[in-house]
Parts: sequence; C-alpha cells; structure tokens
Amino acid sequence: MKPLFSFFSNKLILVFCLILFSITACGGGGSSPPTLHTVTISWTANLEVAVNRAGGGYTVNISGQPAIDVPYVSGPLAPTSITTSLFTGNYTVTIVAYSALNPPGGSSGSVSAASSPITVNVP
Amino acid sequence: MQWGRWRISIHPRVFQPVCNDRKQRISRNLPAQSVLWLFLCATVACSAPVTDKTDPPLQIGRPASPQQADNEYIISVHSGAGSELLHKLYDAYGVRDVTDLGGGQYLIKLQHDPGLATVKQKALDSGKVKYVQPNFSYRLNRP
Amino acid sequence: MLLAVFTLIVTVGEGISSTSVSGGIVAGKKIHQAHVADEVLIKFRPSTKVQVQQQSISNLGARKIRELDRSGWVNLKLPSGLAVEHALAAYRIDPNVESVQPNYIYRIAAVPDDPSYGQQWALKNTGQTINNSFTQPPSSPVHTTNNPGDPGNDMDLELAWDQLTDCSAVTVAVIDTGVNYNHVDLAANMWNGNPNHGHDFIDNDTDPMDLNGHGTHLAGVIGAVGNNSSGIAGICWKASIMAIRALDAFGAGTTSTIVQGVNFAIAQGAKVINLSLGGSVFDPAFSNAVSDAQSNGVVVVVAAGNAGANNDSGSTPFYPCNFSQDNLVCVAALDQSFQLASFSNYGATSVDVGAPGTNILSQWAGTNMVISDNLTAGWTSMTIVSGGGPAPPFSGWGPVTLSGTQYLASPRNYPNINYNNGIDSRGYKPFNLAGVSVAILQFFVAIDVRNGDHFRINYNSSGDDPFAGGGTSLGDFTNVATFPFLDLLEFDITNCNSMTCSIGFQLQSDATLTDRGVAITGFEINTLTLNTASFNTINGTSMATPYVAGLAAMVWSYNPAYTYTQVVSAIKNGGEVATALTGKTTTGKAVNAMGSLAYINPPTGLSASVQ
Repeated sequence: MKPLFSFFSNKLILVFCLILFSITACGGGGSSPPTLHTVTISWTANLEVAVNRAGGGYTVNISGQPAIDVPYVSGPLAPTSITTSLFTGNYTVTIVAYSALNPPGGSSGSVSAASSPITVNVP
Repeated sequence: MQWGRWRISIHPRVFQPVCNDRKQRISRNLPAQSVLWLFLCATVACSAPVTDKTDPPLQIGRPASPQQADNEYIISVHSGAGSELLHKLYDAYGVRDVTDLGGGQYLIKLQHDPGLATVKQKALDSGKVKYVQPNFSYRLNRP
Repeated sequence: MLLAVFTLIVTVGEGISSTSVSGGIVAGKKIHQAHVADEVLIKFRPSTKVQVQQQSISNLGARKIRELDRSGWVNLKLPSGLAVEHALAAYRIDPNVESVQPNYIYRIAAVPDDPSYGQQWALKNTGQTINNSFTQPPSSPVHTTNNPGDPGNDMDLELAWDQLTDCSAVTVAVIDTGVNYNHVDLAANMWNGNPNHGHDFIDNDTDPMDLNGHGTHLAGVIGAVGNNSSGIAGICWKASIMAIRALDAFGAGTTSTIVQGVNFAIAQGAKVINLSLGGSVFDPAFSNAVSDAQSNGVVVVVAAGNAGANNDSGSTPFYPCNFSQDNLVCVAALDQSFQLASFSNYGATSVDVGAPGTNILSQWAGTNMVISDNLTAGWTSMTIVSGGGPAPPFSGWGPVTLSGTQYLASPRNYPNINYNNGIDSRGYKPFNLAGVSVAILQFFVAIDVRNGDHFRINYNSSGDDPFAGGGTSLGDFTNVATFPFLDLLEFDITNCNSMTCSIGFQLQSDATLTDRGVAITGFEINTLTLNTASFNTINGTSMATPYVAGLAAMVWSYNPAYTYTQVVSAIKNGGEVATALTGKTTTGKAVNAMGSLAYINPPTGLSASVQ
C-alpha cells in the first residue's frame, strides 16, 4: 500500500496541473503562455550639444508602455540604448531627444520631433 | 585697376532703315514758311528748331538678355582632357587665354568669336567635352 | 515547481509587462531648465536632527557645499556618476526631506555695448525708427514702409548670445565685391589666411579690397566685432570672414569669377558661403560649383532677388536661388514688421526662409559721393571742320530739353536735324576727383551714329580737351543706333584722379551720310573714398542673406559635430512662423537664432533586438 502522503501529493499535483491547464486554455484556446523577453533598444546619438549635457537626453516611447526617460548622465554623450522587458506582442517604438535649451517663448526646454517608428515583434 | 566698359547693346526693334535723304524729307514735309526760316537760320547760325513730329520720345532702354562676356566660354572637359584640347579645338579663332576654373572646367577667351553654336559643335565633335556655355554676366541686384 | 507555478499565475493575473529597465528611469521626470550638472538643493523638515540630515546626505554619497540661508536650504554636491534626476528621485522619497530641486542656472540676456546697436532692428526690434544717420548716396533715404516696425520681430539674438557669441571656428566666405578688411569693426574678425584674408578673382591677385562697399556691408552683418564699444554687432561677435572678390567696382562679375571664388572657398576650408547675387539664366558651371560645395559639406546661402517676382513662375527664375541642391538656403527679405519687403522675390518651392532685409545698418568700404551735372553749364563746345571753314549751325554740343528732361546733345538742335558731314564736334568739362579711391562715370545715352561716323568718350587729367592728345579713351562707338532708347553706360575713371579731370564727348563724321547724333542725360560720377570707419544703411535680399550665413556659422559653432544637412535643418526648422511668408517660401518662417540653437533634429538609427 502506498503512503497516504504520496497518494495525496500526486493528486495535488494533478489538480494544480488541471487548474493550470484550464487557465491557459481559457486564455488562449490552447496557446502557449506569454513570456517576458529582454529587449534592447538603441539609436544613433544626436549631435546637438544640448542633448548631450545636463538637462538633455531621450525619451523612449513604446506603445502601451509608460515613457522611459534616458537622461544624460556624464561623458561626451547621453546614453543611446536601453534594455527593457516586454511581453509577447508587437510594439511600436519611437524616441525623441530633448534638452534644457528654451526656444523663444518657451520655458520647458526643447523636444525634437519623433524619430521614424520601428515595430518590435516580441515572440 | 581693371576698367569696366559697358558695351552698348543694339536693339533690333529700334534699328531703323537708313533714311539717307532725311534732311530733304524733313524739308519736303515742312510748310513753306518753315523752309524759309531754316534757310535763314543756316546763314545766321541761330537756333530755331523745327520739330519732326514722326520721332518718338527718348526712353530708357533695356539691355538684351541673357548677358554674357563677349568672346568667352566655359568648357567642361571629361577626365583626362585638359587645356591642350582647347587650344587644339579653338586655336583657329585665336585663343587669348585659358584659365583652369577647377573641376575640369576651363574659361577660354577668343580673339574672334565664332558663336556659341560653333564652339559647342566643335566641342561635341571631339567627344571629350561635357558641356559648353557662355561666361554669363552677373550684376549686383539692388532694389 | 509549485512556487514557480504560483509565481507564473500571479504574473499572468496582474499583467505587468516589465519589471525593470536598465539605462533609463521608468516614468522619471525630465529637467528642462538649465541647471548645474552635479548639484541639488535640498531642504530638510524642520524637525530633522543634524545627524539624520548628515546620514541622508551621505546615503547617496553627496556632500554639503554650503547652507544657503536661514530658511534651511542646503546646496549639495553629488558624487561622480550620479545624475541629478536620480538624486532628486531618491530625496523625494526620503521622509526627512521637505523639498528638493536642481540648482538652476540663470543668466542675464547678453546685450552688446556697440553704440549703434540700437539701429540694428534685425538683432533686437524694439519698435525703433531707423534713421538716415548712416545712409550714403546713392542709396539714401531709408525704406519708409513699416519703419518703425513691430517690437519682437527680430532674430532673438540676445537670447542666442547667452549661449554663444564666438563663431570663429566656422569660416564664412563672402563672395562679392570684396571686403574692406581694414575696417576698425571688421579687422579682428577676418579669416586668418592669405596675406589679405582672401583672394581677388577680378584682378587675379591676393588683395580682395572692396571697391564698391557691398561686400563689406555683408561681412559686417555676419561678423562685425561685437561688444567692442565701436560701431555695430554682427551675428557673430567673433568670426572668421574670408573675403573673395568676384564682383568689380561696378558690382559686376561673371560665371568664371564666381566659380573660382566658390572653389577657392572650398579649398581653403570655408564651411559657409554667402552669395548675395544672381541672374535669370540657368548656369551649369555655377550649379556644378554649388554641387562641389555640397560634396564638401559646405552650406551655401543665396539671395532670392529684388524684382518682387515669383521665382517659381517659370518665366522669372533667379539663380542660384532656383538651384535644387540641398546645401542651398535661399533667403527673402523681411521688413521691420516681418512683412515680405515689397522688392523681395519669393517662391513656394525655391525660396526657403525670410530674414531682415530693409534698413540694414552695417559697415561700408568708405565714403560715397555723387557728382551730378545738369548738362547746362560749364561745358566747352567746339567744332573742327574738315578742310577748314566756319562751324555749321547747330554743330558742337549744347543743352537740349526734350519732354521736360535735360540733355547734352550733338547736334545742338537734336533730334530735329542730322549732324553735318566732315565735322569733329567736342564737348568737355572738368571735374574734381582728387583723392578718391574709385570713380565711376555713368550716363544714359541715345546714339544714332552710323555710316562710318564715330561717337567717342575720353578723359584727361589735365582739364584740357581730352581729344587733343594725351587723353584716355573710354569708348568708341560707330554704326550704332539705339534711338529712341537710352542705354546706360558706365566707366571706371579712377585713374583720372586729379582736381581737373576733364570728361569729354566727341561726334566725328566723315564726308558721307549723317544721322541724328547723340543725346546724353543722367550724368553722374559716383565716387568712393576708402576709409576704415564708414557705415551705410541699405536694403535688399542681399542684406537678408548674410543674416542666414551668420546664423549658419553660429549653429555650426554651437554644434560642431553637425553635418551641413543638420545645419540647414536647424536654420529652416528653427525659424518662427511669419504669415507673410506662408505660401511664399518652403518653410513659411523667419529665421530665428535662438530657435535654431534650440532646435533638435529627430533621432535616427532606431533599432531593437529581442533576446
């Protein structure tokens, strides 16, 4: 006769697997669960001095995500890449560059137009 | 110091047929009294103008366009060709000067100008010339 | 395995898409105002003990520089590598900190002390009236439309000068009538090359001294020494201006002189070329020169033209403005209310921007004077008859009035009766040209001299008959008929540098056939006496062009890593919308220095890799 614990632990594992199966089955009709991937986004450094000094930097915009600020820290250039984690899906990414220089009539610095967008497919 | 001679331009529209007997024509058209007055004036050297009602009034003319330096052309040659080609092509017209403008372009100044069409044709026949153009004139553009 | 399953369930349930970002701040706050890169200002809560304050400071590796005042603000120095934004974020969640901020930077607006700065509305428009104090003949008086103009309609240079006044790292070539490089308000800003700061392609020597004034005026707009208690201020208080003489004292040049000028500028390292000139014919060699400049990364700034015409019309193109290279910026002229100047050309596809172009004060090569003559008095008239005999009636030169206009004509009853056969009629008058540097004789003339007869123009420094021997010939016209049209003739008579320069006209006929003769009006001698301290106030798209050339130098000095494409982009995109330019230029904008310095090109090269 098998120990009672092992009988019940096997059953528990089976139940959990069934629950897990049902959850994933309800979510995707049988598809694999979404996975988190590391994504590195990089770009060419802007040549404006004001972008590459205190008060300057970039903002990375990923569709459906909070904006990511990439400020200048030190050295000759502001950072030109970030690494983030994204779930499976397609994302549109653009970036803008900014600086602390105010254009005439402005008081909150300057921001560039957005870069051309790219589509990132996270499998 | 270089002087700047502003060449007068002949306007075809105002070139009038030669009227050799203009004086006689004026005399024939005038009343008899005026002819007598002219005769008298000719002998006493007075100034008593007789108006010719057919003459239009003087007015500011316009220079012919486009304007370019006379007897000068800019010639762009293919790689490998140089000023010796230009002498060969145009010595018959008296090459006064050849200036290298850079980039395979040369300014040539001729004693006798055969005209743009001839200069172009000779250049094209050589097969070594990219293009020929006049040496255009530019002037400060003041409002 | 169970733990892993639970974690996975929780993750799916909550739907958080990322848990960490490296290289950025999730939902961080950007600081746009200029601030000290490694400092913050912090104010602790009143109840915070000193030891706790010190612990808060040292937790981030910072150190106290000073206490600002009794209000409790403290100035902290951050450790190397710690960004101000990170420090702010950390201190904001510190329970002991009441308030934290960057140590902002404040500047006063830079205003130069040049005494005539107040007349430079393009740099700072206060609604000032531009006066005739500096106008010189024949250009006076000032442009009266929108004078005064509207305050604020300027290039915002005072804001830009806060950032940069020294553009000398970028050499600007002024290809024009030359530059008076000895002018006291320009000398220090001339390109430090060749013995005389440039080259002369008119006389083919190394002396590009300006014998007209126009080129000096352009140079001053770009780089008059600023803040030197003298004269005016240029866009760049400190500059490097290369003088290239491709136009003569009349302001005339050719394709060859201009192309040589462009090639020289490129070869000698100029990064910006100013060309305040143009013509109506497509010029392949000129276009090739602009393309060479493009290949060498040089920005070429050109004038739109002053005919009040549409350069896009097809019937009135203006080159080089209408060339299509992308290193070219074509400039229209704006008045003091940022309206398109009445004389300015425009073009929705050919003209790019507007810049100030009316009542522009800048340096001049010297003092201008105009000697006019009404042709009624002081002229000696004589007639020599072939074979001897008395002079025929009406021979010689004399005043004639036709339709209310005064002429000097031969014969003296022009145009009623032809001149006589076999005569040599001369008219001459002395003028004082002592001490001038340049003298240009100009007049309008209707000529009807054919059939072997001659109309001649001579001068003689001695004051005598310039046709009697020892005279210098200026022109000999035969078989010419312009009547009834008056053509403009101009001659350089600088060599007649005496108190008694005799200018003379001769009508000489042979024995066969005669014509109407010659009539002269609008007689003027324009003189220039070079000096080192003259100024002039003039108008034109010529004047608007150097404002943009100077701006190109400023932008490029500020952002030295820029390519020509980015400089052009900053100029075009950094301007301010001017409704008068809408539909009349490619950008619809008036150039603005601060706008161009602050302009940021969109990032490029965006890519992503998924692991």
